[in-house]
Amino acid sequence: MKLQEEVIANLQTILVTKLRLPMQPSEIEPGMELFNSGLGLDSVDSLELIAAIHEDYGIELNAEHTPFFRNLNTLSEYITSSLAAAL
Amino acid sequence: MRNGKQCVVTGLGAICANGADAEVFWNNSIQGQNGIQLISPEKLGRDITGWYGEAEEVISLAGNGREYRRMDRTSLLCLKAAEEAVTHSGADFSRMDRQRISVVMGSCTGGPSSAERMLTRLLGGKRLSPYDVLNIPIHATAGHIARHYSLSGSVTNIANACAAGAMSIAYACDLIRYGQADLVIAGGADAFAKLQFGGFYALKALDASPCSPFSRSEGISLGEGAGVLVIESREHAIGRGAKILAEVLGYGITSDAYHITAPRPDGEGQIAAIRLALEEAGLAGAEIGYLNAHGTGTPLNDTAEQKALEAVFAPEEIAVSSTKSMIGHCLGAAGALEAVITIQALKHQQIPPTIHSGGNKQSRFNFVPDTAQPGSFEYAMSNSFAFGGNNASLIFAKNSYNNVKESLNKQRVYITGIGLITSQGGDIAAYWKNMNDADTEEAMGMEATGALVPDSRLAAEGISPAYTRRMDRLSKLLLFSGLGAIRDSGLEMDEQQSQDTGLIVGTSDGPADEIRSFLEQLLAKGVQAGSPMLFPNTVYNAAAAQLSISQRIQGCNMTVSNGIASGLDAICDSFEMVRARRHQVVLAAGVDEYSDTAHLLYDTLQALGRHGEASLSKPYGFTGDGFLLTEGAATLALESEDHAISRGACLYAEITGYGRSYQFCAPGKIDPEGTALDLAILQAIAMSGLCLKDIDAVVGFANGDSAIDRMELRSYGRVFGRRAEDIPVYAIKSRLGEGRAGISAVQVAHAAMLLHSGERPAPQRGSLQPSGTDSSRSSKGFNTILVTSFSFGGGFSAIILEQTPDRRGEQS
Repeated sequence: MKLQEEVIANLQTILVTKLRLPMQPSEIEPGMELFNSGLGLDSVDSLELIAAIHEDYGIELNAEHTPFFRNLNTLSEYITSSLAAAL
Repeated sequence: MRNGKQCVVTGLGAICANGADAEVFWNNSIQGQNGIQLISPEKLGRDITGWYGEAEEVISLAGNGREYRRMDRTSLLCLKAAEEAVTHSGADFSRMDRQRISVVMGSCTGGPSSAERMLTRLLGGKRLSPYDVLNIPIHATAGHIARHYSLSGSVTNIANACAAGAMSIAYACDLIRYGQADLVIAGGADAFAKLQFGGFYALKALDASPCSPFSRSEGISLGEGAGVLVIESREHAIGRGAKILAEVLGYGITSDAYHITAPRPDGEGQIAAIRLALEEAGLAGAEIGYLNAHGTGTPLNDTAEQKALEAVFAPEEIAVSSTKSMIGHCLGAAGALEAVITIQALKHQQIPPTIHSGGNKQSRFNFVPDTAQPGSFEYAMSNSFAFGGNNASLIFAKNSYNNVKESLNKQRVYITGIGLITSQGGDIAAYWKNMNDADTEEAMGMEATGALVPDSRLAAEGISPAYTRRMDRLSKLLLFSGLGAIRDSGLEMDEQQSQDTGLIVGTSDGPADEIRSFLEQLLAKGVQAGSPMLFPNTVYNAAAAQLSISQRIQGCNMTVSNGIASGLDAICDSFEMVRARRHQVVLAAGVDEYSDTAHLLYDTLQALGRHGEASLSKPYGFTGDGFLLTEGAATLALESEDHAISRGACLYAEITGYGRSYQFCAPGKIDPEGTALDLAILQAIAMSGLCLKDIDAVVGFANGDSAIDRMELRSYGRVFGRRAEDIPVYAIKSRLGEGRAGISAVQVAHAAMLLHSGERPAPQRGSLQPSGTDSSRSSKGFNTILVTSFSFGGGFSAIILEQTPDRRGEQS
């Protein structure tokens, strides 16, 4: 679980620094919906997020991975298991 | 006013992946030739494959002037197509009044390779060339054409990204129908640039193979090129015995006001543009035989565009094809290149195909898959739908002899709202107080350069931080001033008002900082490393798009980039638009940012004061050798008389006339005589129906650079004669600095406030005594104010405002 916590923390930082969300990283709840009514990200934000994840983790995400973009929990879970599978 | 003149096309020019001239372009296109090839690897500088519609490597121009070596590829492509079009038209400019010949060019990025070169040198610690700086902005292109042909009518650069080429053609027709020009050279150009490639790559919008519009629809392929039309009034063409190729019957321009990159999924903005074009052309949808689509190949566009087509046209009555399938998406040149193809199609009565088809049979429309089809059609349409939701639709007619154009009476135009943001404040009352505070020799502090709008300030205006986080500085400045204007005017932006409100924005240097940041990413880490969020902010029309999205402004949306005078020019264009009854309300704005990048650009031109400290030289003091670079924005609500009076609007002033002239000036230099300014002023006087003696005051453009200030005064000396010494001249840049297009718009706002306030504050020059008294105008204040501006490169603009004493008005 520790790796997943680290990933969540990194994603929170990405959302604030790269996507410029107007809040502190710790204020972004891992269960909060990323798109729609939650944090309200849009298509351009998702591309920026995908680019950042690729840069940090070498994982390529695309439209097929939409279900994993529900919230930071689901996203970090996917990233963590992808990293584990790559070992 | 729109006169009854018909606009006809008498010359065509083109260069793109499918040919270096309009005939070869047509022949290759009708044969369905694919011009989209694997991109030359050195262009991307990386191990990335990409598809691109490259034009010929070496552009062969008629002359071989030394100046060509200094021009960016974008301008060279433009000049090539312009030369062909002008030659084709047979126009002999030596036998025409060159003041009645205008140039309008569209571009997405201007001279990006010059920007790349400059940035590479900067990062490498090398000396920067002023020529690179001059080639960067969008407003270089049209100027080159005007200089090449020694033209002195208005010179305009349309910066509406993917719709710029089409909008230039619409703008050209308006110049003719508003009586401003007899002949216009109009079109668009864009050359290959890492910036655009990297940008669309970052947005994952590029197809992995040559694009397949309306079929596989998996993305776009980019391309480069230029398309140019010679457009003139029908009587002018016939008068000189020119062969008429087609008539431009009408156009429609709208704004989605939806999202910065994605089109409105229901296609409503596009439908509105198409319907406006049909209405102006006096046609029903069924009469359009061929439609040249925007057809980029992205799933979002192709879906939205088909929805729009279904709403207006019956599939069995129209053929639709996408030229982008053959030459790629040529951005600012697209609308113009596609207009060339559409006119050729009318001439030859053949319909070019959409190639790379071979999949989608779901649509009922005939997309002319892969093979050209014969046709029999009198009317054709060409559509372009840009980033930020700018939609442009053009209609062409094969024959011009039986089309009658409606002539409309003019509307009076009033300024009914002002919003601004400057180093002297963003609140009108505070601005007015600060500007008129007695101040003589105080040096300006460092605060003078900035006018940044903090997100918290915008939040207080109802714009959420979640929204502003994506906006760049330029957009925030514009948004703040736009909000102010809407609020000040008291306009209710309900759905109906929103559709009948236009927006025209002028900017000299656009989002220079965002462009630099994005380029830095590409140069540092490669073409695939650009930020998807940053790229949409690098187009000059992003700020206008953001304002329209935020305030739901769905009418005509245009961004012009003509240098410093852009703000004033946007106000002139808006005045015409309301006067011609295209919209009841148009928001007219000028905006420019201060940033390290802007500072660097002007510094390289050695335009900034070399006296060291950040202080302003007294304008007309003739001691300064440069100016202080600052930022700012002003938005003015321009409204028709009917609309303003019926809703009891408060009127600041009436706009009654304007003039624009051009006299090419060597890069970075000033023409010491400034005679083109005389012409602009006289045109404004003539249009307003006034005499020179009616001008009570001037809000001028002096900025502390003695060469500029001197030029301005010389012009007034000639135009006003002995009276010149007495006319109060207000030089607001003495307080506000050189904020370029932002401040040229503030100048007009300032004049409106002067008239409305009835005050006569101390001017920077001239006496305070009222010149002559007319008992019918008994107010203490000024009655008529002239506002002037100039742009590096040689553009001069003037506008006249008059007081509205008989109308309802309150001190704001």
